[in-house]
Amino acid sequence: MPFGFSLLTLTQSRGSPGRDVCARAVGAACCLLAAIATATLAFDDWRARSQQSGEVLAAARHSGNDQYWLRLAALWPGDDRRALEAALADNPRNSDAWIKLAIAQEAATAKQQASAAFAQAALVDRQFLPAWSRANFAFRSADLPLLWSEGARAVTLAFDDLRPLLDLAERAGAEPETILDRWGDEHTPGGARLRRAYLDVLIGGRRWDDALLVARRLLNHPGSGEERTEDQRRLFALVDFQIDAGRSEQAWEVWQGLTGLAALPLSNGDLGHAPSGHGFDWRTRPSPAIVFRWRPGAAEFNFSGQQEDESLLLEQPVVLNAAPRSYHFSSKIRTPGNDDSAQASSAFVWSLEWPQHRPLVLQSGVSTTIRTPPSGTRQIPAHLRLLYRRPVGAAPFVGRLSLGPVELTPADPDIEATGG
Amino acid sequence: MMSIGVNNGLDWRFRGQAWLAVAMALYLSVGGVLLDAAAPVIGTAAANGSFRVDSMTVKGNATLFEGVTIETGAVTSAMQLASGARMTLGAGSKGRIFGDHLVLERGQGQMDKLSSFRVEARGLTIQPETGNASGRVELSGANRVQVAAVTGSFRVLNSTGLLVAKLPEGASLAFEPQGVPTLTRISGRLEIKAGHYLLTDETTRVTTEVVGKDVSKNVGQRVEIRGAMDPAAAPASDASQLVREQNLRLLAQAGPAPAAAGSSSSGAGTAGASSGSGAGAGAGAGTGAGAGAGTAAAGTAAGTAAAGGGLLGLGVGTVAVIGGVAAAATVGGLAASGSFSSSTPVSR
Repeated sequence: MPFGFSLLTLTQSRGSPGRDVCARAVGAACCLLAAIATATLAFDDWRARSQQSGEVLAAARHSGNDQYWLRLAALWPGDDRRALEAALADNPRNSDAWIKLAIAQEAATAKQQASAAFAQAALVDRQFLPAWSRANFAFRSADLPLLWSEGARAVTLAFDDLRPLLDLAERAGAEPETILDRWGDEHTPGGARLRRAYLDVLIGGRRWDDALLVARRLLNHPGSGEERTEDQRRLFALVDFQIDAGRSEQAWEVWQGLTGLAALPLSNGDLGHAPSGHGFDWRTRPSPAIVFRWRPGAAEFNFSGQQEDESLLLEQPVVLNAAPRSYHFSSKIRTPGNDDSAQASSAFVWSLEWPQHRPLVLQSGVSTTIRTPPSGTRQIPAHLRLLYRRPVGAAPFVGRLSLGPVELTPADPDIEATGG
Repeated sequence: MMSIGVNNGLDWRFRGQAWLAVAMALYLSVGGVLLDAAAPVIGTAAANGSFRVDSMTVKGNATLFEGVTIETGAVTSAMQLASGARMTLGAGSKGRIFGDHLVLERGQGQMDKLSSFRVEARGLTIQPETGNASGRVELSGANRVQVAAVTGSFRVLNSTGLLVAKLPEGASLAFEPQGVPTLTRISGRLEIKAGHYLLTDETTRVTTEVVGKDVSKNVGQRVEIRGAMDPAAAPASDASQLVREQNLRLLAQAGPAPAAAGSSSSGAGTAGASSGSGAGAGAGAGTGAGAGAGTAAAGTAAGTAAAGGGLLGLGVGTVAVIGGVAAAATVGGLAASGSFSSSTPVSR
């Protein structure tokens, strides 16, 4: 209840008529003053919303509202500094005004004043915007130490997109390693977010070598909980992108770091877990005519008989050592419920496909030794594929195919691993 | 609190502008050198909120680099360039910014203190004719560009660099590039200078040399001329192009007010008789009255139809077509609107 009304109510219960009149007069005067003050404030606010600088100026001068001065500064492009200074005279803790003043000073080549204003903004407001603004100023002033320090503060305080900060650092000529050291360190608050954001930027830019650097950091310093899941999602995506880009060796490094699997060419050969469809794990090719189902230790395919004469059932990218290395390959295939299991099994073949050489066709269910072809590189990226091929003259296969563990192991005694 | 008077404040403005122009030149020559050579900085952008720079969300302010794309959301964004030019992108706008020009892709932009800076929009180039000019450009509809000269004058060129309009201070015009070959259509008083027949279009203020068999007998008359531009011919020195007349129509002697802020040239083409080549333009400038019965030759008709079809909403009676660009004075256009919408908070 307004003060004036309270006073009126109070005086109504008192005795002396003279005092009553006096108190009522005081109360009425207070009400009037309050109404005038309210109307004045409202009028100032209305004037401050005007597009006319004179109106805004009058409102700002009358009210001493720093926001009105800011508004005035916006209406006086290129000549906004004095309005901003007036805003700061009214409210020295207005970081927005400090930042705007700093930008205006900088545009007027008053670098010292600009620097001081940016510093003041950071002093009165320990949030992201002053730090980000000062980092930008540092960049424009070629002040790299300030860029690193303010950037680190911005990384710590940022809740949104970190890419602009990374962009700034890269435009300043910083190498990815340096950026990671300065801002993406595991001890820096927000460093994990920055590493993640940086990996996104690098994947988006198809900068695979730099992405690998960040991936190594993420692998060496995994987050926990949701952060870890986020990291893994990105890293799996990176493995896929690298494989697609023909960088199997680098992809394999990330894959090993992610999965911790033994350094064998084949992942999930025992079909111990459901094919993820990512990286060096099994990938299936969904088809209405062939229904895939995984159960621990086996992959099952149900054929309707409507499938294509040649259908890809399962595949996995692999990395093999170049010649003169050899590998043992074996797989277990069954066609339960089929009268002539051997004949039915002949419809399923493995194909090892590698660049610049003819695919190697391997009969399913038969143990084979593979010799890798000569190659100019230390390692050969390849794809191991399980195919259905309808034999000439045979009816389309109908029924179930059960695939047991698949093995692809080094045959040479000196080979223990690929990818290393 | 600082004491600032209104008049005093306006004085600053003018003093400040000159001072800032010098300061920005220094900034460019001294401060700019300090910047990383690999990352050419052209200025800064600021907003009372977030905006996007090259698809990255930026809060508050950002350093501008050559060729970055700025996209505003709910709030306007002001850009201060090292050249001294200052631009404000309206809410929901998008543009690519360079050191010497802005390519406006969506929304609206206000330019201040332009001297050698230009704006490109939908194939048109808007450039200040005088130093220190301020103007507004707004994209609307699928093909329209509205231009308002707030202070100083502007020239508007088509995609081939041909002058299609001049905007004096306070003028506002809407343009629609036609996309298909279109006959030139200009209106104004026919004059003769040094043996050349010249017509300064009332809408666009572009002076054109006109040749044709009906021209000589209508000197001093207010006419509307339709014809084909001859890009190979050299026009008279006062003209920017030469048009070969195909149809000439007399207009009422009292012409409309020239394109100006908030004005509409609605009086154009209210009377007159078609004469000359027999290729009467079918559109009849919207006022009918039997002018230009639809006996147009196929080419003329096609051109006119294309022009008319693309001019919806521009106010057909007021339209000029020059260099394949239709232009019309706008009513209550950008100049009249006074300002951009902004969600700048003013209360605390």
